[in-house]
Amino acid sequence: MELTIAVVALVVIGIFLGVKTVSQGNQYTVERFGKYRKTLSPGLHVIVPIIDRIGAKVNMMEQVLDIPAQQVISQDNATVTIDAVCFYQVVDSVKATYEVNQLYRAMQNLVMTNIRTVLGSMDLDWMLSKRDEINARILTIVDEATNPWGVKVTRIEIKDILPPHDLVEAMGRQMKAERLKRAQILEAEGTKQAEILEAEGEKQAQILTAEGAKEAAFREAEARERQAEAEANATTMVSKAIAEGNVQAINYFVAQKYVDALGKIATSDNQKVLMLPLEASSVIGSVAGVAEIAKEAFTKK
Amino acid sequence: MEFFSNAEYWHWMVFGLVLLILEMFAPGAILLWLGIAALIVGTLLLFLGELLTPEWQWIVFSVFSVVSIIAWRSFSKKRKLNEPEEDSSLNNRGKSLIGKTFTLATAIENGVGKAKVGDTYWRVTGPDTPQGGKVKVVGFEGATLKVEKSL
Repeated sequence: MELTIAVVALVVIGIFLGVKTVSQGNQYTVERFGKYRKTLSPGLHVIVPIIDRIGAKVNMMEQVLDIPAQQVISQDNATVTIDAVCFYQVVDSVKATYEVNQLYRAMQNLVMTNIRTVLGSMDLDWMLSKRDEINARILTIVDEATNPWGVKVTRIEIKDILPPHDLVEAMGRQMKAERLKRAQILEAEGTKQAEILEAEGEKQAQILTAEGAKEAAFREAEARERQAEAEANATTMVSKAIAEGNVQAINYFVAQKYVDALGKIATSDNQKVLMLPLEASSVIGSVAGVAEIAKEAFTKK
Repeated sequence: MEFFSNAEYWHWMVFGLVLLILEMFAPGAILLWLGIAALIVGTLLLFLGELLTPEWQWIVFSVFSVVSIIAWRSFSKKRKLNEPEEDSSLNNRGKSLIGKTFTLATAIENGVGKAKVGDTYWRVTGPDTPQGGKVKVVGFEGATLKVEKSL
């Protein structure tokens, strides 16, 4: 009876020690008397109890490693606080277990020191603006270093870059000043442009006015020329007529005009005063001229 | 001791069911086999009755605990229920990249270079190839991919 109980106890304990279920996302290493023997993948496994032991339970999923905030001095002597996050995945459980002691701590320190190395060789503006490049550089170094440990570092991201408070304030002021400068420059440019345009407009107006005047003068001159021409023509025609006919013909016209003028004076509103032209004698003379014409006309007959 | 000396068949049945219930609450596929064994002993008791003395009952229980595990292993191997890691690319990055083509970020020199995979870089080993060349993944070893020139 006691033997039976012992056997049953042994079997039960054996089952407890020998049956291993590995859940997905993990791998267990098996050690036989402390020496690595094999790796258990997810699923149900039976190992030999007592002589085989589970050495390490390795998480094969991608994991997040928080890199604590640290102070880094940039190349231009600004002290900045930087924290980061690192994503890694164990791809070889055996190496991750036996090639390195305390993988987590090793990786954390590796990333921290490399952040210092990479960022310490940059100045602050570069740090703040070239995150992608920084991430890529750190990743390259860390990935290469963790390769012998069977770890694949997929991503390292700088989370926060915090310059000291007074520096941030100074940056803000610089930004403001720059914007202000830009605004002032723009304003001045606007004024300049406006003035130039105004001057141009004035110039154009004056040019147009002058052109108008010039044109007008030209036309006036032309008109006068034409008038003169016409007068000359008229004179020539008159003189031709005189040459062909008689001088007395002119006198006829003049006399007509005189008489007309006298008529107008006579019929004007203020009849109280009758203006006689100074040269009444010449009117009379012209009448005499008319008489001459008459005489001539009669004599020809 | 009462239970050890004169157990009815239903005692075993209940014992087996309790073990199975415990297995539900604490999964680990350990109590499962004991539960199955207890149920088998109960069934045998039901049919054989007095032929099975208490000692034998316990020995049968122990034997069937071990036998059920071995039976399950051979069964799952035959039916490929417990698929080995090699057939699955879950939690196995290198495996999931086999057969795919990538561009080299740095030239392969002395057999080692870097290829851009997604948004990260993998170390690759293969024939020397200039930067920007296309390579096809044929295998992997840890975090290093084995590649050959892609046409």
